[in-house]
Amino acid sequence: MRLALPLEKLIDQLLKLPGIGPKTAQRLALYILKMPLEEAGQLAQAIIRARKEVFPCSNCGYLTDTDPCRICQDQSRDRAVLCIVEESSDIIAVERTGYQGRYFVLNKDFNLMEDNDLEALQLKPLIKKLESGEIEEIILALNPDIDGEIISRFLADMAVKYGVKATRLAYGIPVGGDIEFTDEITLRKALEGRKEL
Amino acid sequence: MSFGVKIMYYCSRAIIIKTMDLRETDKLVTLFSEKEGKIKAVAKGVKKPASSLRACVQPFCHSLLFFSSGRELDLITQGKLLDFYSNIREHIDLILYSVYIMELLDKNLMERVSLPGLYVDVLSVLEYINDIGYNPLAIRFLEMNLLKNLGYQPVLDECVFCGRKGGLLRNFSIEAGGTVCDMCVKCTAKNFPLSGELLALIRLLGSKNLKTVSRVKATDATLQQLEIFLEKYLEYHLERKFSVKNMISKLKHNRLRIT
Repeated sequence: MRLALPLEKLIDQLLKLPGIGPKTAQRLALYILKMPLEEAGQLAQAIIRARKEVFPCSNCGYLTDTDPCRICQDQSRDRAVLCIVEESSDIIAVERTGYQGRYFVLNKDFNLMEDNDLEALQLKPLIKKLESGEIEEIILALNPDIDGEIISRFLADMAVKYGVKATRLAYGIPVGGDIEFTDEITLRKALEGRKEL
Repeated sequence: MSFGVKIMYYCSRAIIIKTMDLRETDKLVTLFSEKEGKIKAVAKGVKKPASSLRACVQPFCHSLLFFSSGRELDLITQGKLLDFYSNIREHIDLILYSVYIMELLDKNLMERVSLPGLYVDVLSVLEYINDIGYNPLAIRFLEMNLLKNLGYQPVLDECVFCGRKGGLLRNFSIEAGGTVCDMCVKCTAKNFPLSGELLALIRLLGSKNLKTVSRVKATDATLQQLEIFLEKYLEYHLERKFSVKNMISKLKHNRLRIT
């Protein structure tokens, strides 16, 4: 059965979003059609506004509407500690922990086997920060997979050249986790990094 | 006799080549299994912290995996980690060489073609690098055995053009895939000059096991020539460029362009 052309277009657009299949796209489109016109307009406006006004901070790469971003502007934060993350979404997660240092976002999909090598990472702003002598420690908060491991080792070597301490997030059992069902690698790493009580 | 019945469940030891994100918590795993060769399978829920499969599907892990056949892709249902190669993961150069091995397998093996000999060779090289450390001959050994298993083994005992055995074989034709005698050397425009030491080393790589190969003492110049030779041979016959190899070379020679 042929759908109304505007509805079909809306479904096509929703299908472009990650994790949205044809059925979900159809359900969302039908939901939008049921929304009051004013609410649908607000949704459309919010998408356009966010797309137009949000951009990566020139200093740290975090998504912001002011340059530098609010985190970089905050004078109460520790300027000697820099947390390096892969994506802006990682900052949101780290911020929930109460971390009070600053950030640097790599903002690049690194996949060595798919021809994206370390040259694609745009590290010049980071090197400038390391050269400035302001940074005393970088915390490598990258995903603990093979690509994250390669970047971490590479950045740690780079930091050492500038006399900056490089640390990484610890491996361990999640809070509320079950030792019996923890995989052997995590458990081994947790044993290696055990703390005295 | 086959009755056209598809096996629903099977298990195999496997080396994980690479993983790709699939949906919210799943991963598409490319692996080199002992029984089935290179296959792609879905590991469900491995991005969840509580997943017991997560450790088994990390790149260049050696795992025992249980599969259930699917219409398009098989599903990994259970797994047991056999080796994580933890020493490799401590050094960036060892990680990169291991990723290069995985890239060789990923870009050159056909799906569902069982190569048990190559499987044993890959395992032995990973174990060697993990236990002893980097040895260029271990990587060259694997490159040569990959060529051998794919049917591109170079002709090294006779002239590839006239078939003459014996005599001096001082050149190698990459295009023709073999050594060239002094009489036929004019037949080809692009020849790779071979020293006696280099030729002996290439012959050794294709005929002996890793234990023997790794004990060979060769000069740095010969090892460098061997690397260039195999790089050219691989690129010409497999028609591929290997990005990891390129990056290793940039890192080694400090030629990485920071942007």
